[in-house]
Amino acid sequence: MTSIGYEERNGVPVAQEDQAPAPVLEVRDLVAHYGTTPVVKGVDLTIGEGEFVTLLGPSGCGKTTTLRCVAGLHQVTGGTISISGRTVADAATHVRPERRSVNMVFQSFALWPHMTVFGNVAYGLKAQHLPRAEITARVEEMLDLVGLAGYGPRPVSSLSGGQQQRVVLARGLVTRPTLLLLDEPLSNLDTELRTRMRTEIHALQRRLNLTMLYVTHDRAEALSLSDKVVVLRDGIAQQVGPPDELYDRPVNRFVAEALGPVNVLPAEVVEGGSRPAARLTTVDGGPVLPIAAQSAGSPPVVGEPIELLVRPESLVLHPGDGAHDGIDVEVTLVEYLGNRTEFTCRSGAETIKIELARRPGGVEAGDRLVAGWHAGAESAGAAWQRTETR
Amino acid sequence: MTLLQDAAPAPDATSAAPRRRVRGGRSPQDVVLLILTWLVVLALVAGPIVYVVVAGFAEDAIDLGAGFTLDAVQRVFTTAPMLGKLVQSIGFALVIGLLSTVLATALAWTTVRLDLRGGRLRETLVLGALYISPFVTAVGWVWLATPETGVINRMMQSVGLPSWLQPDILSTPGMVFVLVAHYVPYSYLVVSGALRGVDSRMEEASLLCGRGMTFTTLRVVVPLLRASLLSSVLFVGILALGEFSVPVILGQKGAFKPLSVTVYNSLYTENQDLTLASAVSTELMLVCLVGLFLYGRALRNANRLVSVGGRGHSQAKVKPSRAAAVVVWIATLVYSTITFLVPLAAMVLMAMSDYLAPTLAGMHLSLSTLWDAITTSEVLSAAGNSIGLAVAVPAVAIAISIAVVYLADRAKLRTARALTYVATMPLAVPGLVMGAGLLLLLIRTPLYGTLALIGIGLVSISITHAVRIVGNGVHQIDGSLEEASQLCGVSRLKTVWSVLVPLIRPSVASAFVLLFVLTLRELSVAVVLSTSGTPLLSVSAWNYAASALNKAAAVGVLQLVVILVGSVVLRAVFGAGRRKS
Repeated sequence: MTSIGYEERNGVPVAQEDQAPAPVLEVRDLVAHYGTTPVVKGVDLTIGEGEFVTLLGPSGCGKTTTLRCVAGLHQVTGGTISISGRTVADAATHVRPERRSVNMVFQSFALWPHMTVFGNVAYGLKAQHLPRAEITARVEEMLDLVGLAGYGPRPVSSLSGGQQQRVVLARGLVTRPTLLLLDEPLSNLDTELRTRMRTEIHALQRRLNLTMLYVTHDRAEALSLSDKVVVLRDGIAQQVGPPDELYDRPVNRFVAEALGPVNVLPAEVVEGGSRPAARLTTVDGGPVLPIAAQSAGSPPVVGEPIELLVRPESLVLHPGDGAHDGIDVEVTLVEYLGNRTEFTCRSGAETIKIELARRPGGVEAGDRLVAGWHAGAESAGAAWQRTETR
Repeated sequence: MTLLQDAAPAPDATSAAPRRRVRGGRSPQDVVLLILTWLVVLALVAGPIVYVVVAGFAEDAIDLGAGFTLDAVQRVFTTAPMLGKLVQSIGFALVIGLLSTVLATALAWTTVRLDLRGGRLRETLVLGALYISPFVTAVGWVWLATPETGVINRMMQSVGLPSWLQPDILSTPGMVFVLVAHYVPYSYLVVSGALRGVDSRMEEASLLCGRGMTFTTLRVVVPLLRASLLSSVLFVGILALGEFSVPVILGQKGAFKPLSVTVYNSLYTENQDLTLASAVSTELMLVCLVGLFLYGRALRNANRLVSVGGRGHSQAKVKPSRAAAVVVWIATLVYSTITFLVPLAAMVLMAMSDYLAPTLAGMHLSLSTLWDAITTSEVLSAAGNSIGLAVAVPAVAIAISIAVVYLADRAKLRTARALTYVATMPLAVPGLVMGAGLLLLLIRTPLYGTLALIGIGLVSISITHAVRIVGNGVHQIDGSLEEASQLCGVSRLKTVWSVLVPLIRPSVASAFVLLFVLTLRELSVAVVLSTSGTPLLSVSAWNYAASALNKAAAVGVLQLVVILVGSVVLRAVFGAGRRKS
C-alpha cells in the first residue's frame, strides 16, 4: 500500500489544529422537493473528519435526495449545507457540484463506457490540469490500492461487477475529495461479493481515514460500516447515533425495525422515576419488566399505555414449570436456521418471536413455556415507545 | 428515421420544482448558450412559419409595409372551389398515409417477427425507394405507363389486352401509387422500430392462450402499435400534403391537382400570387395542426401501452414453414420490383437513351449519352453544390440540435422545453410551406441567390429530424454518467463534449447519414431558394423533368450514385471512428 496525502484536499484548506476544526459536512434543517412534493423535511447532520456516516431507510425516505443535495446534484429548498465550513447550498446559494470538492460513487456505477479503466480514473485529475506524469502516478497508485494494478488499459465494459465497483471507488478517491458520497454502492452486486466489498470499503476507509457519507437500505451495511447511523423516515431523521445505540435503544418502532427484527408488545407503565417499569398487557396479570429510562420526549407516566420494543435475541425460553418469571407462551413454530433457531410463540393475542443461538432439545410446536429476559438485557431495560395512534 | 416515435414528451420530474432564483444554480455559459440557441431557432424555424401566416394577409407578401387585406384569406377559406380542393387534398394525403402504413406494417412484421433467410437484402429492397426522389420515379413511370405510348402499355397492346386493363400513370391513382411506393419506407422505419420495442412474449402469451396468429395480430400487436401506426399515417399524410412534384408531373392531363400544386404554381408560374401562396400555406399548416391535435387526443390514454418491455426484453423470431417463407419472399420481390426495381431500371435506361422510344432498340442506348448529360458544367456545379450542402447542413443541424437537447434535457433551463417544441415545429409543416416562408422572409436580403441561403433553408427543415434522433440518443444515456463527470470537477458544458457526445455517437452518425440523404434529395425548399447561379442536383433534375425526361433521369442517376456512395463513405468514417475509440 502506498500513502495517500489526504492533508491537501483540492486546495480546500484544512482547519488548523489549535482551533476547533469545522466539521467536514454540516447539514442544518435541510428541505428538498421533487417537483412540488417535499421529500426531505428538515434533516440535521454533522460529519467530522474520518467519520463514516450512514443514511438508512426504506426507498422513498429521502436518503438519496439528501445525498444528492450534498453533492450539488439537487437544489435545496431550505436549510444549509456547509462543507469544511463553507456554505455550499442554502435557499439562495447553489455551488455547482464540480466546485464542492466532493466525489460520489453511484449506485449504477456510472462508468464511462467509451473510456478505459485508466481514462475513467484519470478523468478528474485531467480536469485539474495536473502534469501528465503526476496523473499517471496517482492513477496507478489508486488502481494498486483498490487491487486493480495493471488493469489500466482495459475497457471498463470488460470488467466484472466487482472490478467495476473498484474502478468507481478509485475514480471517487483519486481526486482526494473532502467527502466521499456513496449511493447504495453495493446494491448491484451479488450477496457474496457484497459482503467482500463491504469489508474492503471498511478497511480502506479506516486505513486512509476517509470521510464518507453512505446511503443504504441494507441494515447489515449500516451496522457494520458506520460510526454513526441516521435513520430516515419520510424525509425526517428519526434518530442519529452509533449503530449499537440505535440497535439497543431505538426511540421508536420504525428505528427498531430499520435495524433488525423486533417484538412490539403492548404494556402499561407501572413505575415511573429513575427505575421505570411496565407491565405487559398481552395477558391478564402479565409480568412486570424494567424499561429504559432514556427515551425520546418526557419520562414515562404511571398508567400510560406504551409499546415495548424487544429484540428476539433478548428473550430466552424456560420450561413452564412455575420456577421462572416471564411471559407464558405457547410455541407455534420452530425454524432451525443452522447458526440459530427462531421460535414463533403466542401469548394471548400477541405473536412473539424468540431467537436462540442453539436449539434447545425437545422444544416443539404446541409446547407451553415461559419467555424470560436474557441475562444482561434485563439490566438495560427494554426500549419502548408511546403507543402509536394509527 | 426515429423522428416519429416518441411524440409524447417524457414526464419531467423537476420541471415543477418551486421556482426561485438561486445564485450559482445555472452556469453563465448555459445561459449564453440558451440565448444563442433561441435566436438561431427563432430565426430559422419560427421566422419563416410566422412570416407565412402574416404574409397571407399582406397586400404584398414581400413588402409587409404595403398594407394588409383579407382577400386571399377569404378566397382560400370561404370559396367553394378552394374548400373543395382542401377536402380533396386531405383525402388524398390520408389515403396515401393509410396505404403506406398498411403495406409497411405487413412488411415490418414479417421482418421483425419471422426468421427469414436474407433478412438484410429484404430490408434493402423494401427501403430502396427511400434513395430516389419521388418525381424521378414519376418520370420513369411516365415513360413506362402512359396510355398509348408507355412501354408497358405497348407491350400489353401487343398481346391484345384491352385499353381499360392497361395502366395509366397520368391519373390520381397513378399519383397515389407513386407516392405510396415512395412513403412506404418512411412508415416501415416507424413501425418496425416500434415493433422491435414490443416484447414478443406478449404475442407468445396470446398464442399459448389458444389464440391463432390472426387473432393475436389484430387484438394484441395492432393495439400495442397503435401510437406508431397513427403517427405513421399522420406524418406520411403531412409529407404527402406538401408534396407537389409528383402531382405536377403526373397531373399533366388535367388530373386532380392538390393544394400543394396551388402553392407551387402561385410561387412560380406566370400567375404568381405570393399572398395566395401564403394563405394556402397557412391553411395547410392549420390542417396539420388539427391532425396533430387529433393524434394527441387519440393517444391520450395510450401512453400506458408505450412502456411495454422495459426489462427482460425478448425478441424471439418465429421460424416460418418453407411454403410461408417462399410466399413472403415472393411478395417482397413483387413489391420491390414494382415500386423500386422497375422505376430504377427505367431511370437508368432513360438516362442512357438519346431518344425516348417505346422499344429498347429505338432508344440508342449508350453510356456516353449518360456521361454527356451529367458532365455539363451546370450539372457538375450542381453536384458540387449539392455535395457541399449535404455535408455542411447535417453538421450544422446536428450541432444546433445537440445544443437544444442539452439545454432541455440536461441543463433543464427555463424555456428550454419550449425551445424543443419550436425546433420540432417543421414536423407539422409541409416542406413547401417552409420553403415559401424562407423565400418571402429572405428574398430582400443580400443572402438571396447564394448557396448559404439554401443552406440556411435546409438546416431549418433538418433541425427537427436532428433534434428527434439526437434526443432519443440522449434519453438512453443515464444522467449519472454526466453527474459523475461533474463530481470529478468538470463543468456541465464541458461534460457534454467529454462524456455525452462520445456516448451518443451512434445517434449522431445515423442523424448525419439521414440528413445527408434528405439534403441531397430535398426538392421543396431547394426549388424555392435555388437560383440559376446556385444549381442543385435535385433542382436540375426537376427542371429537366419539364423539358427532357431522359436528362432528368440522367441527373436522377447521378443523384442516386452520390447518395449511395456518400452513405457508404459516411458509414465507413463513423465506423472507423468508433473502432478507434
